[in-house]
Amino acid sequence: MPAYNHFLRDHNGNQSPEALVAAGAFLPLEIHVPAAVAQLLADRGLPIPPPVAGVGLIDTGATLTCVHESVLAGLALNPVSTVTSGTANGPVTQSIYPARLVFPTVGWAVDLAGVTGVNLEGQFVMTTPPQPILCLVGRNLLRDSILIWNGPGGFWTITR
Amino acid sequence: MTLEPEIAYFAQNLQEWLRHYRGQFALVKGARLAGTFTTFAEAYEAGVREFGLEPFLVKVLTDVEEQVQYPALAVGVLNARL
Repeated sequence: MPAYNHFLRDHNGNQSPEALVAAGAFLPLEIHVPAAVAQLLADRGLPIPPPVAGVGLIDTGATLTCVHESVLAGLALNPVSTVTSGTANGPVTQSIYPARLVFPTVGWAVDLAGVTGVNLEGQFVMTTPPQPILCLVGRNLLRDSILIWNGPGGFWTITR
Repeated sequence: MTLEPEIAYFAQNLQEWLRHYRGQFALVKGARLAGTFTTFAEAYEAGVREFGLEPFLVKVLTDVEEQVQYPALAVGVLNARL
């Protein structure tokens, strides 16, 4: 079972609980069109939209994984369903998109039935330099994962 | 909304479909039930095969739709609108 270990370090290169607190559990990922759509485009001789690379922040509070909506639009994905979300102003209906998430550092590829499109403009992982957040990795992706947060050690681990 | 016709048709027919297909995933295109499937993935792949890149709806047949939560977004920790 491959594991992704992420050690957060301070400016002196030492493992840092404070750096982990500041940055959170983030990892590089790519957003692709779903495999079924890629196959259809290939069969028709049409170009497959290139994936969008960035970082995802693990959010165990999120039921579903959320992706920056401009990324989904750039991949020309249609919404495929709806879901009701709880908000401070009451329930709202949101569109659900299919998407393929690829984690290049560990070679994982996950076709998710449901990601929601949200506006993550201006949201950054607080590293040096800050990196824009492309995606909040929610519990529908973590369903098949083991996630370990080691605060005192300044690192976290995920396996699937 | 892209899926407005499909969502309206789904809502009109949900009670009838529940009698036969409870818990399955409905594939709807326009005002037509194109099939029911055991999993979302099966329904989605069938939709891509049949309708290509055109919009279609996949939705579970259930009495009570589950409500999802995004606390970080809902309370404004992340300034993203739902």
